[in-house]
Amino acid sequence: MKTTRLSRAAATSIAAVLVLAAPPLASVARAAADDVAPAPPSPGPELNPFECYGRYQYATENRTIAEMRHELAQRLDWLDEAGQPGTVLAIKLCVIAKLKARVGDADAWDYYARSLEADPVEPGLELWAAQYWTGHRGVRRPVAEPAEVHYYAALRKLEAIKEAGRWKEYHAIVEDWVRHDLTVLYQMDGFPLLPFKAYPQRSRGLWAPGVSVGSQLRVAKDSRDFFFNNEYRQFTGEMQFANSDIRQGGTQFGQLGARQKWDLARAPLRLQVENKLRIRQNPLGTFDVLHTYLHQWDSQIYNFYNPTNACRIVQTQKEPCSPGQPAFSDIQVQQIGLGYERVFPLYPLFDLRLAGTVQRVWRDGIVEFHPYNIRIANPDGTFFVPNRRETLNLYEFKPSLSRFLGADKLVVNGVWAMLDNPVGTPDAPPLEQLRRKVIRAASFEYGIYQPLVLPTFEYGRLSTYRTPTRGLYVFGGVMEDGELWGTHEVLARDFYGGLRFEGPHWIDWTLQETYETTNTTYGESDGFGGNVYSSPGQAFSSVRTTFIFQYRVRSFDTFPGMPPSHGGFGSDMLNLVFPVAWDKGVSGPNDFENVRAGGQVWTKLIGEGIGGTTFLLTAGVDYQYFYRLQKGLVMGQLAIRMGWGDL
Amino acid sequence: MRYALCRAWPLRMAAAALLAAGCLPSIADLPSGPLNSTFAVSDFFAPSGYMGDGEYFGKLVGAANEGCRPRVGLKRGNCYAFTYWPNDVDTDPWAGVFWVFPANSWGSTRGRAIDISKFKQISFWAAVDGPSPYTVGQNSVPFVGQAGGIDPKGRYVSEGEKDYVDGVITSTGWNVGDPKGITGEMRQFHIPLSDFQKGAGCQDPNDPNKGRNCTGDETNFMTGTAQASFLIGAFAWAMHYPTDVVKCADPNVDCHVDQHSSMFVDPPPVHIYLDDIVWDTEEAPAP
Repeated sequence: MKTTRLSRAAATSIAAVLVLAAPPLASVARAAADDVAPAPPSPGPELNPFECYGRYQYATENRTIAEMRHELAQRLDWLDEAGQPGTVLAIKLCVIAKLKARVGDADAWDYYARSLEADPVEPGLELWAAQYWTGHRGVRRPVAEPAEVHYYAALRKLEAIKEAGRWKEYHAIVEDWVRHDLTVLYQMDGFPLLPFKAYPQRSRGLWAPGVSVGSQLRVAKDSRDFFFNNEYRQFTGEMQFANSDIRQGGTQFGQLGARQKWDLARAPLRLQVENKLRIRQNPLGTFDVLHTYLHQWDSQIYNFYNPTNACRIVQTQKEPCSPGQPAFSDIQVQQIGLGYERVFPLYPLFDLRLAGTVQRVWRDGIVEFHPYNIRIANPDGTFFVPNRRETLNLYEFKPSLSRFLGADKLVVNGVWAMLDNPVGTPDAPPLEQLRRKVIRAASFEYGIYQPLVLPTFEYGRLSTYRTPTRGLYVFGGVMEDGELWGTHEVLARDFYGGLRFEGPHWIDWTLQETYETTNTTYGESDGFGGNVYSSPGQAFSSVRTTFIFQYRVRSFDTFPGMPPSHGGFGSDMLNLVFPVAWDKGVSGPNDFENVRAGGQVWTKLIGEGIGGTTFLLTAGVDYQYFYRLQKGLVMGQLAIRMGWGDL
Repeated sequence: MRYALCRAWPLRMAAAALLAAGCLPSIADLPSGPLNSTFAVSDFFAPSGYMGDGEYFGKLVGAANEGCRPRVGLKRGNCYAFTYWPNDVDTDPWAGVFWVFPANSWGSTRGRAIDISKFKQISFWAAVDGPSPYTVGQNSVPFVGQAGGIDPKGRYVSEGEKDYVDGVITSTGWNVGDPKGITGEMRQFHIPLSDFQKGAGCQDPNDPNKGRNCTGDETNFMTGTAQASFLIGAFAWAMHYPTDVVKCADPNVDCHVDQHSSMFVDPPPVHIYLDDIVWDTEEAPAP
């Protein structure tokens, strides 16, 4: 209740400031936009900037990287022809810059810069320069700040051209592409509260702050939670803990029965709302005020002495249960915090992305024996609510770096996150009070961007053809999730690797293999020494094979400009996704082995009439079958995102 | 260069601190050695052993350091407030809580090392607020305080493991509502610990099904001079629900006798308050 008041108060204050500040700032921006001076004369005959684009396309098309390098060498030789006008030289430099970017040369930017110097009037050259930062450079995100500089420079030059009365048809296309690119650049921000960076963007939006609100609504009835936790691990871990000597396994009722295991495999209803207020300020980066609300119904075990609240009779004895109380309890999580991210171009070394958040977390219903939604009636008509709220601090740091290796690109990601419970469990003995979770992960992705020779049946038989693709990616990584419960440490590790192919036309696929281990160790706290032991009864491992087939009905790169708009919205992307997964036990119990298959629709809509606000909509249905338990689950997910982050 | 390096030491320290903070604290090298001086039970033992109606979720609810009854005197360890309602599934209505080590252990592991020769008594402050008269079949109900006495009675042996039994057992009862017993006012109680009680639960060291729980060898065991060398259950309380006060749902069935707790109509709760539960090396004061 307290957190709700806090978030409402904060949101109201921020909204009030924004509402008051927006009109004067907007009028300043509009006034500034009207001050553009007419464009000076071009340094030569005015050339269509798409000359650069077309020549680059011709020089690359289905060629190998070596052939592209040959084209590049030739064009470098032709560069120093005497007496050529600045506009001609600019186009030549632009083609060289694009070729260098394509083959991964670190000095590509120098040629873009020289191109802009050679013809400082043509807006289209600014567009190509900006696309270098969004299309080639960057790591997990475009390098937004230098890209913005050139997109807005293009808009300024377009306004100057118009002012000078030299507007050509192709300038309308440049303008459309620039605005589309900017809209895509801001697509994860959400709804723009201030007009400066909202569609249709104008030239003076560069140094003005971009303030937007993003909101994601996710509803799912699914065995998987929203945090990428593996349900095989969750169910097996729950079963093993309940089976241990210090819970049901240590009572006269012993190990979990078949029905109890069957009940453990569950797909609770989950709802999550993630809100953010984003401030984007060039050259600083993006700053977020974050709020998240999560509720899961009937998802949490609250009593591992009888984890499914089963009223069993074991050897003529009635197992203590609570008729009328649910088998599982709800949980609720609220988070409020701050976030930051920016990609720093540090070539000739690499591009570096720094991202992190600091958040305060309030959790209800997680602590065992303290369910959230259970109320116990007192004889006097009041209710006892056993819930115990946890207040935690969450720190996340996600550095990534990338570098071109020839035409290919290597991306290395790191994750460090700590969920710290400063109070711990205050009523436990001091050695058992500490609660902390630390996640460390590292991964790589090697993107092969050189044209590939692929099979085709186009001529009535199997043959091959060379084609550029959206990339063949080899990836792998390790993740370690350690959680401390006083003197006990639960350590989950994932080792994974796979291939992802983003085809030239409409088909993509991903194949991933993940090996997962879970172990529990404990420090000897009984006064006999300082050893650390493992708990074999709590150890298990499994593998997950995942195959995802994706069909692009409409690809986001179909329209370089704004997509056709119907009713104020243009469809930028429509994908059909079919994931299949198989969880197989390797060591320990295998009761929760399962296969899962489903279908999803992903679509992206750009709301031109609402400042270019972009929506990402996802809907899917899955079926999961736990073949050892003979239990099937029909599941569904729906997500509506207006602004988002890592998916 | 040397100057630059010297200047960099705060940075290096900050980096080291950041790395250390980024990991989980070590669970190796935890404090070692037996308990050998006066200690608060809650500093080592957890009140996780809910018994009787405590096994029915919500029938016995405990809170530490919340809702405690104020009192004078030393403040050692946690204070507790329990609320108890009788079960409604027709089993004998009684409840209790054991403070055990490790938490939730009923003798699957050996417990906390202790030099029991140093200890003379277990003391605690307690009060009970319940309906009056607090009787079952017109008889007074004792509030039992106990130390030691955990015995799995073969439960873990049947699973191919060993049973760990408390070598010590001692208990005392005080009638609820009796001015000389336990009332709604916080008072201190003492459970004396005799040499006999310190070894009353010792098991034959040659029994392969039992973990070693006492000092000495076979001779000490046979002569009764072995003493507990570890402790699983440091303290427990238990009491019966005062069935005489409840109304019965069916006038033709006397729900106060036998096991008819499902017929209780709005049974009032019993509140149990505990504080300053201590194993003490000093003798209990004379009664």
